[in-house]
Amino acid sequence: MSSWKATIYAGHGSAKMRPDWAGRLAVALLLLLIGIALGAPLLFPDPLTQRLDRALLRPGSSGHLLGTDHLGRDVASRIAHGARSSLMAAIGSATIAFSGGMMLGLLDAAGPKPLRVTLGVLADATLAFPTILLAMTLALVFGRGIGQLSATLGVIYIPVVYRVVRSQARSVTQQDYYRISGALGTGPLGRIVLHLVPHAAPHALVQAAGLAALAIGTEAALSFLGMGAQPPEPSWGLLLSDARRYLGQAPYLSIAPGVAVIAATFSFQYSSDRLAAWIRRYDDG
Amino acid sequence: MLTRSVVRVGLLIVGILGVVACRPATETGGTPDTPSELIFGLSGEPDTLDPHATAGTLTFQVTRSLYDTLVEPDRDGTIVPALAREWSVGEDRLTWTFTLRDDVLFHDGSTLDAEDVVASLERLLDPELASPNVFEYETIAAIQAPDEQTVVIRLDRPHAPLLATLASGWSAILPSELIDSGHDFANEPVGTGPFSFAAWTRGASIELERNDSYWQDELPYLERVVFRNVPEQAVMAQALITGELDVADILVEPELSLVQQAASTKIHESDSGLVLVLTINTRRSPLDRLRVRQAINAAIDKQAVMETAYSGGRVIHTFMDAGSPYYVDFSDLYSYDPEFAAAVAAEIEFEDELVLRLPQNFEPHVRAGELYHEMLRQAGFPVRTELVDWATWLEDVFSAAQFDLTVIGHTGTLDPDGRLARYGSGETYDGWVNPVALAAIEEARVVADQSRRAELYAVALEEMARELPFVYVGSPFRTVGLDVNLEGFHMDVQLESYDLRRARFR
Repeated sequence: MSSWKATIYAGHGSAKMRPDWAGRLAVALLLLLIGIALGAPLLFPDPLTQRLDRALLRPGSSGHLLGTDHLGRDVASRIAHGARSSLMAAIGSATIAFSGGMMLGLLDAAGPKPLRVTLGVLADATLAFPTILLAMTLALVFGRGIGQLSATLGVIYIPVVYRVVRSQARSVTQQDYYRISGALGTGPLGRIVLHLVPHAAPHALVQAAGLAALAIGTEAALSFLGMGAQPPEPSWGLLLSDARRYLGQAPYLSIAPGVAVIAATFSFQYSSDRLAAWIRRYDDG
Repeated sequence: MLTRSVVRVGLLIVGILGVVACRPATETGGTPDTPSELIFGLSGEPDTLDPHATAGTLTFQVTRSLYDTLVEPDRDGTIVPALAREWSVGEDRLTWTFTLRDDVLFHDGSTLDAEDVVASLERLLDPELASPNVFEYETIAAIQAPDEQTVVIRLDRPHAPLLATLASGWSAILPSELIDSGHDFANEPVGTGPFSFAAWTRGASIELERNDSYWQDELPYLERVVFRNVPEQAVMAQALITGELDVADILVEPELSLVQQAASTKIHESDSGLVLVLTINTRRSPLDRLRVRQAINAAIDKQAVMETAYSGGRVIHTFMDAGSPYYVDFSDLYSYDPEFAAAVAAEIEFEDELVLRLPQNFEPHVRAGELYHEMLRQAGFPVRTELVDWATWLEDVFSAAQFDLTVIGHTGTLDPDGRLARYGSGETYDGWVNPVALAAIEEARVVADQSRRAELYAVALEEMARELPFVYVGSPFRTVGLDVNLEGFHMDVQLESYDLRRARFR
């Protein structure tokens, strides 16, 4: 484990010394995003109110920072409220994937062989399906909506976390101290909590944060296709879908939600990378 | 990955070529085609040119110029003689007698006689052909030709809508000799129409030539008509503006504005046969109460919906399009009154949100749905929108009535029975029960007298307008783009087809 880590880090020795601007930006963006999502109802007007006489106003025109859409709704407010959908999909699915993946991964490492085989096959089967297709199929079964979508994505992502946890936990079960701990009388549950969880959890957390970034893009894509958030609910994917028809007349309608999706994805992804680097350094001592 | 990007680049080049190819016409100024050739842009290609074997609108848009029917709608929608000089209905309302013209020739030179009509109608009823429109002819018991100029149709029960069926494109008359010899009408149509078939280049164009022996004197005016397949809206608009095309079959925003601004074009706007509605499921509480439906109706600003969602149209308050001879104006019955809506909404204790299910593939309906959602929310109705795909809409909403509210357009038919059949029975998707309306609609189907039918439909339509199983919103305009010099073009909105007999360039 530590040998390949060392080769990767050999080239990055100097990078550690410089202040990490991108990392700070990512964390700042993440905090800003959460702040906007939480404060949206207080900071912005109702995102649903239509003013048909004030449709397609340009950004900056009278009280509309980012303009208005084809039904005269305030775009800034819809983006801010849309952050709630995106964050719910991101954090909701990541939480489900983290807890589900941790549980199954630990069960796998500590459990009997038949269980291990079953879980492995199930995970491979789920991973073999394209995420979007699977999510669309499940949306047909369980109905459409941002809640269902978050749960669906969470379940789909469980195998990703599970595999990381499994490999981390298995590497621990091979260690002498784990066997000795058992010989000294620590029960199976105790060994999981004492030895496996502290080792696997950080890695699972990194994976989950990366999946959160993925969930933001997937939520936007599925909402764009009408399978996620339902109109007139503000969601970045729906905003992009509405804006598509006005690409020539009002390109700003596409730019604002596009930038929002990119910024949110970047902040989650980069924060997850930083977290991973930090954990590796911690592991190395 | 490589192949995919190659394909994408290929498409880009085609797109550029499409625009470049259009350009020379503007530079030379005016249209490159001869004045009596009409280039007609169709947004799709017919699957067949056999009018008996399909329900596809595109087919009838082409075959309307190739074939005639016994009777036809005139420009007001009234049914007038065509291949039949006159017709009568017997006392028992079961015997329909048609007297044919004696001066009609098919494109192959043979003369039209009663045998051709019998053979054509029998072909329509032939289970082997499996015509998708066969149900419209199911009351026919026998078709006879007592002499060369007379056709007698016997029914097993009175059925007034038959006349409209015989005026529709799917009742085209084909030559009996070719029917007997198993001619390939799908690819080489032979009729009596104003134009005869010349060539069909699949995927590109269908060419027609003037029928010099057409039975209407001096018609048609044009020498040639070419239907060109132009599936891309932007290309269609561009080609019309530059004079590549003389007709663009459908124009919607944002291309419509471009065409309106061009000096080389004009817009042919007609009422369409479509009635746009917000359907209310009257089986469900609290929508089973008339007062609640009145409140929903009062909450909807119909004018705004027509303008914002449907690119303009005529506001109506009945389940009949304004262009129909059976249209009755009920605009004084109810009005837009958000305060009344809010007052009623405040009285109701909603157990659950009203579920507004929208057919996702029809963008105008989705947009209208967003407007309804907000108008109802402002009035105090709790609403939740759900997008469904078209198959689900047909199955769950239209067939199984799993909805509270939904948005759709009901297409026009030449005979009102096609639109109104079964309403009031409780079996239609709105679940509305009204014995008065149902009885009137059932009676109108069997009565032959046109003025009596109009009275009966007026009764049914008034019940529907009062009791609001739908919020009737409007009929969108049907917009066709034309070369500024083209005259005499007619769009038949009920049949959704084009009459080109009087079309000519100034």
